[in-house]
Amino acid sequence: MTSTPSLDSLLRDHYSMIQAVCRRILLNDSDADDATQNAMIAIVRGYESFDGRSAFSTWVYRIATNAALDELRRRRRRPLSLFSNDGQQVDIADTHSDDRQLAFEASDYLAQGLAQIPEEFRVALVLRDVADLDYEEISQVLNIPIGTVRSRIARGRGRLADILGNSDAPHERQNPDIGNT
Amino acid sequence: MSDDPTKNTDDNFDIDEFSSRLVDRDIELNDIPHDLRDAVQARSAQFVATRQQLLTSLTHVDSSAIDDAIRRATNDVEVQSTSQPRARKIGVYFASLAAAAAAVAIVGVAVTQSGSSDQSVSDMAFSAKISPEVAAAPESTGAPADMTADSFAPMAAESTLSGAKASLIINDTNELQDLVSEWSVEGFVVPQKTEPLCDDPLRPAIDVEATFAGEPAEIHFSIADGIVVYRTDNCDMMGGIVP
Repeated sequence: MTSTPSLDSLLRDHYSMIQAVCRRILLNDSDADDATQNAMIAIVRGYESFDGRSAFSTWVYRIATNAALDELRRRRRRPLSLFSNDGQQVDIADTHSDDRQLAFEASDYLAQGLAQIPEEFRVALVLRDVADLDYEEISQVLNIPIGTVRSRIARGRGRLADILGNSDAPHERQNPDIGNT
Repeated sequence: MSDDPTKNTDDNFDIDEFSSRLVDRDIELNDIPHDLRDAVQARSAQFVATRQQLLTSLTHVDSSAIDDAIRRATNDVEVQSTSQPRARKIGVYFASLAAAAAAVAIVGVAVTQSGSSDQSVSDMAFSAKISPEVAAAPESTGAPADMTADSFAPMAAESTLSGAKASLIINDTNELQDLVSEWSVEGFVVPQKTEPLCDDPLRPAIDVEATFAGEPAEIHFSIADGIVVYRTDNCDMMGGIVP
């Protein structure tokens, strides 16, 4: 049997967060479910060779992030048949069509906000605020310097706060009240 | 420029960076210049609120869905492990890349001119991307039909490029990025050439027979310094992705 009790337990502990990371990166439930399942397969397959040089959770989120990014690339290669509300077809050669598709498909206002953030900022933001990885762990997962991690998270947070702030309470942005959120 | 001190523009990115680091307790309020503290605290409050929204929006996953996902993952791995030797997975990966190269040839894309830019190579390769069906075709391995070359990246966690020297055909920088993702996975061992053709003090040469955009190439790679592809004829740099 490939799945040992300890692996089973680890998978249970991490499943929800793997799925959350994939959903917040991909912003499409169906694609996120595919990425989550691919990540689960990769974790099961690679578990015996996991060498413990990083925390298990870091290793898991690296795999989940790669699975989500793989899914994003795969989605870009799929032919798009996207129509706006007025029936106009979105130009598939438009370099922003992927972002438009994300925004179009995003099911809730948070997802719509995240869809407007560049992918590199969104991934770093999700790993920090959803997966709760620290800078060092995100640096390992994304294979980028810690300074870049800080910068991407800050920019992602700034963009998202502006987007959500503009849509929620445009006149109160300078005096945010955490208790009301 | 806006008068709003909390607005996220390049001009006041310092405020966002201070605020973000303050939220993460990477710095203390005392580390922030006095004149920025009010703005930073206001912005930090927005960031905290946003984080709370992200966390509270997460959907609950019921245990039956988790059971099902674990069962499908373990079953998938068991099916694959009994139906194919590990080395064949890598074989499929390289076969799919080879098929992709063949597809490039079929559409008549001439990418071997030294003047070709990465962008043009990328654009051309995009139109000739291997389809999932072609990727799965070389051998009936039991791999999921929708697995493209990208999908094999996670497999790297348990794989090496050992054995007979592999050939690797790369069409564009997207595929280079895929290689970087794959080779950066912990536990993946990338064989190195003992006598590289081209000199790169930062990145060892990888022991594969590589073709990049139709030309024989030598790949140099390190996790810290990225990947660079050199033309074997003259060691000119053909492409790369570096931090």
